[in-house]
Amino acid sequence: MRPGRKLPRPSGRKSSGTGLVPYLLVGPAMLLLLIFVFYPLVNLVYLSFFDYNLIREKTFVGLKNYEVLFFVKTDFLDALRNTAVYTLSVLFFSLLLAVLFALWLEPDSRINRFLQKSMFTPYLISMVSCAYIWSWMYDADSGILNAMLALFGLPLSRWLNDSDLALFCVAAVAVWKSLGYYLIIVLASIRSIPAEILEAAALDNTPPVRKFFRITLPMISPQLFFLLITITISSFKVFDVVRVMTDGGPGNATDVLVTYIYRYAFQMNARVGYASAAGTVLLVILMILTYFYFQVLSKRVHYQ
Amino acid sequence: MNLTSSRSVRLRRRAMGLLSLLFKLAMAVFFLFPFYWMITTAFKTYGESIRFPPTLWPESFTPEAFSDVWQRIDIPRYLKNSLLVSLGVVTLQAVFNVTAAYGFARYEFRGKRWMWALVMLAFMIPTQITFVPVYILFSKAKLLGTLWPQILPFAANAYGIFLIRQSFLQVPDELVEAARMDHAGELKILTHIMLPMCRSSIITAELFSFISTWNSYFWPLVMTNSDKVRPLTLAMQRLQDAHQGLEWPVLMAANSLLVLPVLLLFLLLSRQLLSSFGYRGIK
Amino acid sequence: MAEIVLEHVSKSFGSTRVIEDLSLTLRSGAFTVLLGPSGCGKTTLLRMIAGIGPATSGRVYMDGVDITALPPGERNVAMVFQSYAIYPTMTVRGNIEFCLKNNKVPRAERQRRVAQVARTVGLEDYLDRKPSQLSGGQRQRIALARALVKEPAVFLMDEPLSNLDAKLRTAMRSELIQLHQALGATFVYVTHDQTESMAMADHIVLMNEGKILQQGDPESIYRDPDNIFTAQFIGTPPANILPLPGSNFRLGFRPEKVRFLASEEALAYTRPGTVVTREMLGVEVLYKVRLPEGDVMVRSACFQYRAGDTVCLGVAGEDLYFFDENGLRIRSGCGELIRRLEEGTL
Repeated sequence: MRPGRKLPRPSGRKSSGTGLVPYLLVGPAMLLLLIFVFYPLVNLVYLSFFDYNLIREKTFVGLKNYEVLFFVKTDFLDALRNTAVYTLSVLFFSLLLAVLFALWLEPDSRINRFLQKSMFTPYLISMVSCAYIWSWMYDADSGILNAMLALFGLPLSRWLNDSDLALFCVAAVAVWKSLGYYLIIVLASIRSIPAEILEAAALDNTPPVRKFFRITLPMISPQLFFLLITITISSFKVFDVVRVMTDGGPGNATDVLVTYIYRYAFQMNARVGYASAAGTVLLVILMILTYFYFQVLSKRVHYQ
Repeated sequence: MNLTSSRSVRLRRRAMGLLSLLFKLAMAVFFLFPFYWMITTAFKTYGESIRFPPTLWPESFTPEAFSDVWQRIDIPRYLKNSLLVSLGVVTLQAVFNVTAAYGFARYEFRGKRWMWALVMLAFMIPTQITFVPVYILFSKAKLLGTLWPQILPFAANAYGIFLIRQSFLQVPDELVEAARMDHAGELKILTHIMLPMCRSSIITAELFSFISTWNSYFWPLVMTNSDKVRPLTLAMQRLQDAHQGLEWPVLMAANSLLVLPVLLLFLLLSRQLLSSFGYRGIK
Repeated sequence: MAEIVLEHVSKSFGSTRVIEDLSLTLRSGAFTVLLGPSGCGKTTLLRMIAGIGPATSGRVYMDGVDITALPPGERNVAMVFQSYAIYPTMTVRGNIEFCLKNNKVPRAERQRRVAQVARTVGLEDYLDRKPSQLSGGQRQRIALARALVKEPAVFLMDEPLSNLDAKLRTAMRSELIQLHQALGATFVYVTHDQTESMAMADHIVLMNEGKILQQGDPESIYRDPDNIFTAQFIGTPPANILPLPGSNFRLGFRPEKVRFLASEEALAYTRPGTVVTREMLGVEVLYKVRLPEGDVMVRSACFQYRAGDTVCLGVAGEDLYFFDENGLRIRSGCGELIRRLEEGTL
């Protein structure tokens, strides 16, 4: 046996040949996942090739739904673009602020813990509630934000009614809601950097900025990558906040992929086949992101 | 070292500390203020709520909005639906997630590899992808008028299975072997060694499920066709649709009812929640 | 008391063979130590006896009864794990009586036995505490108590002292020896620490790469190594091994057998050298001396040499070991080899 290689331990915990027991344990959950995740997944792709409105018989139309999505109507491309803009802005501000706050709140003190807890609170509250509260604060006529602008003598804003601004207003709520969670993750990873490394850097008289870019940032990069992917995935499936605050408006300035699918599947004469095609596009996007997620995950194993 | 310069350094440091403290308090206000605003608005009269500039503290402090909410919509029914759905999901997950996780962690069996691959795949598929076909499924099964469409799809949850399996795997092999040496059967190993050791992570997983079900909006919106089965998160919509022009005190009063249980839960369990969320990110 | 017999046992993990066709008898009532470097298969053997890592092939007997397929709980054995494997969710008492409860021992009897064992290991005052509140040494005692309370015929111990600090380890060592004398049960003890094995064992089984290289009582293993591996694994510092110029053979001797010679003296093996290092041990000094054939360690009561001094070393003929090209001890014809050494023809 080569030295340094760990002896494969006989696993006393694994029991094999115990017949039905493992299947009884795993079976019910697997059945539920099959019915509510995999069958729908396959059915979604299948339905995307049909014209179907839940009442009439479905008719096969081939790739026509996709053709309409991308080449006939422009509203899907708008929704796709809105989703991308929303995702990028949430991503940029979430990561930047999470890192800045984490550096700032790194020492463990009473006030830091308090601020951390305050920032985390919105994360647990439902997005619907947050969206309602912020709609009220954004209110163009009697909202508190305009009152603040007035207090400082600044011109008032239309906020959610301004089609150039609405998407960013919505994104700001998403950042506000989840920043506390991202902060906790970054903070935990900064605190897990071995003290010796930072002490060695201090002995080498490293200036703070260089210390951050050469030591801290590389050490927390796996967690930042994890966040990058998580935020991207959750942003691509955004729905609640948009639906409550703007319902895609004004015009379709804040229409995103899921509100789009929802509208076509449940409101516009139940065009289920067409909505399924849009859903399949979202599925493909998420699959690509998931692939990167696992790539990063496997890299992280080597990294640590 | 010059005495006066060291003193000025100390002064500057103290001033910076004070500034940083003030800024931190301001940030805490920024993150908590919306909740304050929600609650105070709920106690204002409609007239006061639309006054510009707004008042920071309600002048009359009236529970009018709450009684308005109570009269206009059937709060107990929405509340009952929310509770039934959340508790139903948590109860079923306690059974199906834990058994599945235990099976994956402790047994070798045919097909285990691809079954685990399916769990990991399910982990990555959000409800926003599956909702149309699942809706069709429940509509064909004629279950749309019941609470089942909100409960059944979450009775087993890939993420929960993953988390709990992880904690089962962390129980050292030697403990299980020691229990075998002590003549403990498989059931006894589960009830006396594995479950007590994984208690906290099972509770955490259940808590996450409860909060996310309680907070869910998208799924009940899609899966319900009558107020008989709608949860509290959808009740707000009723208040919004009912009148022309938004009555913010009423909306905020209803919102407070929705937020308070979770807020109280957080106040009680903030330490555990913060550490387990941090842990979740690292692992 | 029970005798354990392993018959032609093999063990593989996947494609890795850890033990191949090994047979071994563990004497009833003896304190047997399975000794060897990490990865040599000693723990694997122990787990076979415990029944938690069954052999891939071969049979295990206990007092003549085939227990190869018997589940661990039904063998009359107890085990102390390296990590102690204490159930963290139970109290100290819960840990100790878990096995008794599983075996449906009546309550009164259970309490009596727990109390008695707790007294033996000195845990009476801690019975209702959680293990996390106790120190490393006390946890070690819980693990020991848990084994003792079963009153088994065979005690299996997997490096039980390796997680203790040096002082506590020495103390526990003598406690374990006393315990063995008091109980008279069969002890099987796994360690990689040769000092520990020499101190505790009635019988040492030295293993490497899944094979038994030598077994016997500590003294014979030390004085009479069968091969280079044994000579170098046992003893601090290990035996010196040097090439024999003009042959494929190698020659070995223990550091304490070397003498510093005056210029006119000569022994069977006599060599000039230079002192490289000097380590003061108290009663003795440990020198590293550079000879033409290589460096050797010397343990001596002569304190006067310093680094850089030129010295002459000698080893008597009866203290020399000869090994063949495979590292095995040459036991016949040694007189001839010694004579040729003295003549200087080797």
